[in-house]
Amino acid sequence: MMDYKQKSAQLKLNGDCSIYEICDLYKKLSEQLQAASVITIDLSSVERLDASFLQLLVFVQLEAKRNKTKLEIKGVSGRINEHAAHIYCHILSDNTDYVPLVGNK
Amino acid sequence: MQLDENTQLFITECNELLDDMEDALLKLERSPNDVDLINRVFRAAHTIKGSAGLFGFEHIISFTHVVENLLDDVRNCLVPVTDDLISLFMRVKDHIAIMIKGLVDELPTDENEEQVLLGMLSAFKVGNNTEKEMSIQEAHLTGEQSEDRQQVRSEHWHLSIRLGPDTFRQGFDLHVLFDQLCDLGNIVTARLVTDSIPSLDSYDPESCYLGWELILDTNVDKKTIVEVFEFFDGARISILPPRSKISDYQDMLAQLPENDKLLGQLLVEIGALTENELQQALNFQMKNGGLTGDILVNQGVVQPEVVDSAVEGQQKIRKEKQQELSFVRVDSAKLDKLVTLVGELVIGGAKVAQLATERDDDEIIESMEEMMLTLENMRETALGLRMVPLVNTFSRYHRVIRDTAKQLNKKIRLDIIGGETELDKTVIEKIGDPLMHLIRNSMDHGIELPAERIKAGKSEEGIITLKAFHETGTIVIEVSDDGSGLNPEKLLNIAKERGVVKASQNLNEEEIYNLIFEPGFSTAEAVSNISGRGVGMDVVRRNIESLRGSVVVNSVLGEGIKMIIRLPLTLAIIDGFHVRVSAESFIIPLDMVDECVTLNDEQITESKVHGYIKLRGNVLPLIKMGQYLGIKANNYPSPRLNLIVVKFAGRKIGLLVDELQGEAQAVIKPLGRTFQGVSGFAGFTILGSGQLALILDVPGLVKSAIGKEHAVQTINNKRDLSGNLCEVSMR
Repeated sequence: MMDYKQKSAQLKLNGDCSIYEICDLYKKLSEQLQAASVITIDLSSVERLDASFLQLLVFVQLEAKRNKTKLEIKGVSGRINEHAAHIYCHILSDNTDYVPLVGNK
Repeated sequence: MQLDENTQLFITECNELLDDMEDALLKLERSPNDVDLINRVFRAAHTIKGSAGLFGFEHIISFTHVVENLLDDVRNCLVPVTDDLISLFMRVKDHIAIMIKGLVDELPTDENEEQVLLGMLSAFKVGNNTEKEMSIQEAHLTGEQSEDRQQVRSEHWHLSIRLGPDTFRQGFDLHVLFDQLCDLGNIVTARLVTDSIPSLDSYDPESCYLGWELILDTNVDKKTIVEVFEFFDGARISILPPRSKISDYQDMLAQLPENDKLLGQLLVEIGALTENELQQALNFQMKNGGLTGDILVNQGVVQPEVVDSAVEGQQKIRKEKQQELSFVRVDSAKLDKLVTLVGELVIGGAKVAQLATERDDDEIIESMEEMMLTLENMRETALGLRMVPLVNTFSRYHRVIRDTAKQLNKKIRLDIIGGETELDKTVIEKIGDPLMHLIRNSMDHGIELPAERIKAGKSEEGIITLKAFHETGTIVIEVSDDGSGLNPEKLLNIAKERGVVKASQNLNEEEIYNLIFEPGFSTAEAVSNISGRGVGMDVVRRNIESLRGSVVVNSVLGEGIKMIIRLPLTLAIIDGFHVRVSAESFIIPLDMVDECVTLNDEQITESKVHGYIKLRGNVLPLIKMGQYLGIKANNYPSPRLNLIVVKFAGRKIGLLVDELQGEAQAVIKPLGRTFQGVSGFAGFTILGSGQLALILDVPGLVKSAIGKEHAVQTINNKRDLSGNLCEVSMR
């Protein structure tokens, strides 16, 4: 489900990312948040997702910001974007109130 | 039927509410856009329905429910106020009154009338209107109302959404939530709120921490929006309406029936607050205290303006309730009993006072004087309890005038002046029918048809005026109209034709006008179901005179008629002036006594020669009471002759008596059937000595002296012609 590297961590999420998998996903991501200073999350292989996963991504973004961890999210598909937009799951930034959670495909 | 106290109270209150409903309907007819009047009618129907519910009077509940529904449409400007609608509600009011009366009489209500009314109410309901009618109703909306509606359409709702922690676990799909919101209207903006997402230590990935601040453009009401979140357990949703909705809520608050509800309940009722929001606020209040309104505003679920309006309304209702509480409903029979007892106390007090005077004990006399002062206060207070403003009696005629005017194809308005004037309840109860008769006569014979009025240079609408005011211890009620007035020539001719007056007899104007009080006398060319049979005016006068009152007619041909009724303030206890004629005691009502004069020798001679004396240059007709009453003067020799000047209806006469005994409170007792035919007396009273004293009927005495006055005037006129007037005046 996920590749893992120390200090500069790269995580590739794949398959289903929903409430059923959310505890595992959280466990892995939280470990990285505590250990790595640079984290890259690749979503290109995510197949199914729900709001609990989008919330987890928001949490990771907030936590990274709090810990001054450099975070990059990539491989965001149109489906993920659409899903996030549908429930207005955006995250605040310094510049604007309405920054999409994910912008690049 | 013997009714329990509560049912009696229900009936009394319903009748009061129905009176209020009728009054509001009559006013609404003239001001169809007056929201307050519509609310008054609605409140009356609503309260009757609610109270009937407490007693389980199902037929009243079901009927008033239909009435209330239509009134609700009227309140919401969906059904315009028209003459037909007012007439329907008048019939509805009458029908409810019959239903209420049926509770006492145990009579069934008129099923046919009920079915007809229900059919008419249904026909007026907004859903049953044709498109044409609807467009007419739309046209009735004022420009401002239309603008308001536009504003509601263009402004946005603000939703603060905080989902419950178990939202994910319970498998709710947030896509569905947002789809439903989109179905209601357009989501203008939505800002994700992440404040609740905890840090790493306490983050639970299965818990939901999401929230949104969302702007929704929709025409639906708050309840519909709330329903979207119905199944989201634990969600905290605050919904603030569009800006223009604040005024809508304030209007709704103003229109709510006047129930003493709690602030939260009021806000839930108008849709400004959801049950859930209220519960959360109350939970917060339980833990932290504070005022509900403040909590609701701080939690951002209701705007401060709406809370202020609700609080203001609450305070108004509570104040009114408080005022209501300061009144106690008392059975009038108990008041009558109290007045009777006070009367007995007055008689007893007078007796003790006399004994104290006879024993010449200063201490007892002093104590007695103090007690008599208190007794006098008590008497005035007890009598005051029975004093009722005339306005309620007068207002009843609005409906009669409205209905009769329609029947006669006339336009007639009732003006009431001095409705606040108070009169003893017993007198008021007896004056209702005579007034009704006079008003019916004015409507039928006085006020002309609109075309005739315009031709005569009058306004299309005729006016009947009821005016009440105090005048020297009496109440004057004037019933006047601006109609055609009485034609004295015609009256006299009819009287001569019918043999009421001899062909050779000449009458002055006042005497001619008084002919209308003769039994069977009518000037009407046609008999209608309203008046014209010549039955009634004699009864009117008899009824008024039985109240120790009088009625006088003033009329100007082409300009109208004025019937002046004078009535005593009370029929129970009066302040009297005790006089003695020979050995007999008499009481003169003190408020009719103008002055007391001891006559000098010249005046005594004059009084013996003529039936009058000259008092300060004015001729004063006299009644020598001893002679008038047939009492032998030598029974009880008097050192001098005393004159009491009494006045009534602007006229003064002098009564010659032997001795003035001073003021005395007199409890008026009826003379009884044997002496009812005796004129000149209004009743009798028991003096402190236990002696009986007749109470003089001053209006009757004044009336009988008028003949003498005419004679005096005739003599004066003759002297004037012979040039002797100066001589007479100089005496």
